[in-house]
Amino acid sequence: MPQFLEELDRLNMKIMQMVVQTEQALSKTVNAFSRMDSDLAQEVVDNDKKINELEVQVYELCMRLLALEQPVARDLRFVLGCMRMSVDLERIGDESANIADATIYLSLNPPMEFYDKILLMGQKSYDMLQEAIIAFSTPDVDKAVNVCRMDFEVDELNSAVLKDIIQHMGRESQSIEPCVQTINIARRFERIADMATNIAETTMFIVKGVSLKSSCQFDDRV
Amino acid sequence: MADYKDNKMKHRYSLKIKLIISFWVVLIIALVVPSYYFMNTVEEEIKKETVQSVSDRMSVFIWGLSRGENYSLFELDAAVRTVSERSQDRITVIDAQGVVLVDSMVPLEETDLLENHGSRQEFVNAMQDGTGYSIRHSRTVDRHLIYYARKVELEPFGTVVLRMATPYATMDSFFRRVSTGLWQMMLLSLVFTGLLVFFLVRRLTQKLQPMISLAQAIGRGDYQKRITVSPGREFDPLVDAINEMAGSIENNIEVVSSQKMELETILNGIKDSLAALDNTGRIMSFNRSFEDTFTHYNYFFGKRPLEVFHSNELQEYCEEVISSDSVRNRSLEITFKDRYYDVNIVSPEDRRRIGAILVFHDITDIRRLESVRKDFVANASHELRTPLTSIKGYTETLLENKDILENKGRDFLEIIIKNTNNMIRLLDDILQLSKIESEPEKIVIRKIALSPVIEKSWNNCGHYIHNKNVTFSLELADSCLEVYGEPEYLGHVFQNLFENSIKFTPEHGQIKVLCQLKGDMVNVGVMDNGPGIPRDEQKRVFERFYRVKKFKNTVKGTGLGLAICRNIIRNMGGEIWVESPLSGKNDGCIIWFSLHRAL
Repeated sequence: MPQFLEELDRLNMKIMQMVVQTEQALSKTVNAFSRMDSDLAQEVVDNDKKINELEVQVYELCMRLLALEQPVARDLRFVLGCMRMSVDLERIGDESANIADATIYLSLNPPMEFYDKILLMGQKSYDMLQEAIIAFSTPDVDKAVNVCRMDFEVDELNSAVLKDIIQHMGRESQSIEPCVQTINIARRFERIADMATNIAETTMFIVKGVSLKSSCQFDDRV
Repeated sequence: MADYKDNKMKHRYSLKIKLIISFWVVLIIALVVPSYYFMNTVEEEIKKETVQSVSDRMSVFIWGLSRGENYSLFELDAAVRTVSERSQDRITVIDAQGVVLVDSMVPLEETDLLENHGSRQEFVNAMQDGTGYSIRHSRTVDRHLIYYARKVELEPFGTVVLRMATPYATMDSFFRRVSTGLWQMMLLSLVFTGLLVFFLVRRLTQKLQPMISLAQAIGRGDYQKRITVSPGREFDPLVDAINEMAGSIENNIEVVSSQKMELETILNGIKDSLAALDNTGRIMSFNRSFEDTFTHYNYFFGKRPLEVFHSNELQEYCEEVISSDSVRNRSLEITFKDRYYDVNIVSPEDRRRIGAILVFHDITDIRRLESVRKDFVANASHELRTPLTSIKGYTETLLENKDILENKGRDFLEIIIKNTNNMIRLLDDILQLSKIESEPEKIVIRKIALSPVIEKSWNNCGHYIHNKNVTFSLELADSCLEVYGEPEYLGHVFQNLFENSIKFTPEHGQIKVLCQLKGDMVNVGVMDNGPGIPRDEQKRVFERFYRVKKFKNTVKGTGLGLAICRNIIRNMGGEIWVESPLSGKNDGCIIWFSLHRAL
């Protein structure tokens, strides 16, 4: 294999490693939230370092490829896409760690009625990430478009949850602190869903070369 | 393969050209060597003849000269000219120092102008040996001449050298004549051999052509073909060899392909998913079960395990097994899309092609069964213990306290009877469940209409709707009015589902029965607008005693209803599952089950 292809392959493997780490982090976060399992949540927080390290490695590999091999066309888009994706993945890892942190705090408080909706948000954002990852590694543009469509559901859930929590806070002022934490968690899941959408957009950029933002705007979204 | 191509490149001349060239080389050697030898001999002979004749003439001339005495230079010149005119020879008299005294071709006055002949070959030889000759091109007459010289004593000149030059022309023209003929002959025979070889080779290739194309066909995989005609007896061994080769290839291929088919059938028959990695760790083949299990990708070839199964650990293990000499197999457990797999990685002895084989054994059901069994004992004893505890408590209070027995005895007894009823209901459920499990043959399915069963079940549920405002609707498509089922058991299913829906719907409940046609199955769904079932619990709600965590303490139930439903539906050949939340909403729930459609 020529050196260039070897390097590209190495980059692909590195980004897949990062993808898997992030996916696991999010999966653990959702599970920890669902069971209010503070041990599992702590695991996510501890593991975030690994994702950060991987981001640096991916970045270095991309820089080397760009500087030494001057890739063109699809290879260039792949390298650029990986750079972009690594940022999104790292961010997802951070958000997962933050949610896990908040989960540790919430596990000490009695559960509240809107946890189910937030859990559903978490599961949906996890589904989106998984779908986006499969879309990326296949690569499959149709799946990527699907991810963009799913983002809409999470957005709607987020606003519904927000309304519920505000009502709850109006009724019970002593539980404002856990409520604010819960709002944060909901927002972070929503952000993760957005970043999964970004990954799907990156996939479309790599495969089709179309500009990033235009590919995920649907008329039915309004 | 590469060597073969290189060889082909080296010998890129065709047999035709090679044959023609070698024939020509042989021909040229055969013609040139004898002619060269022949010419040399003839030349020698002619030279000898000429020299002899010149020498004879010279002798005659010398004899003539020796008759007179004391010639003057003038007289000598006259004598030389006379002889020269007769014999057509050029005669020169040179003294011992090489100075020309008389020359028959040059007037006497001009002989002084001639150069010194002391260095001429024939002169030198004559001075030494008495005679000498040489053949040279004469510039004076512009042709080849033979110069013959002899040393004689001539008074009053002392020792002189007489030289006679006569044209060598006879030889030159002979050569020219003979060589033209030779060249023509050579050219003719070259062309003739060329044509001969050309036609010979063409004939040979024409005869070989069927053999070549047959061999090519065999090479392309048409192993049934055999060569029947031989271009010549010399080729018989080749024909036999090719036929034999084709035969053994055909046999081998048959054996290999039947073995392959056997193996493929076995591999595809295996429930476990198998994948083979090549020596760089990429997926190169897999069995049908693999394809059916991992449906998230439509293209696996060339992918690495990490990309497909999203497990860093699996990737590491695969790499270890492929690259290490000592580690031949490893196993680990991975989770993928909510299912557990026990993965065994085995590496073959010879890793030139296959680097490792991955065997995926789905242990999700085993895991689930384990936890179900564990839970059953715990749950059953717990569910039976709760009412028993309360019965025991109230009975003890009544027995110990006469005051309460007299005043509140009736209330307590009502509580006791309620708990006893609960227990009876629970035991009924357990009994029903075990009956369905142990005697599935009691469920005899036949063609029945759906709507009467549904309506009857709904009416039985009337006492459950205490003070809720529940609207019930039936939306059955015409295509699924009739199904194969057992009406009594199907009624149980609907009753259980309706009870659940009524329990969980809010104040203004909506319960709807819908159905869809899917192939030869009818999917029947009971929809409600309750809070829905959390996704991670959707598979577990069909387990015995499993109750959704959120409602465990608020809504009453045995946790057996859906387990009974599942058993009944499975015995009728269908499947049961949950859809929650409803698409486009964040709540609601449909319990779907499938039944065979009655035609």
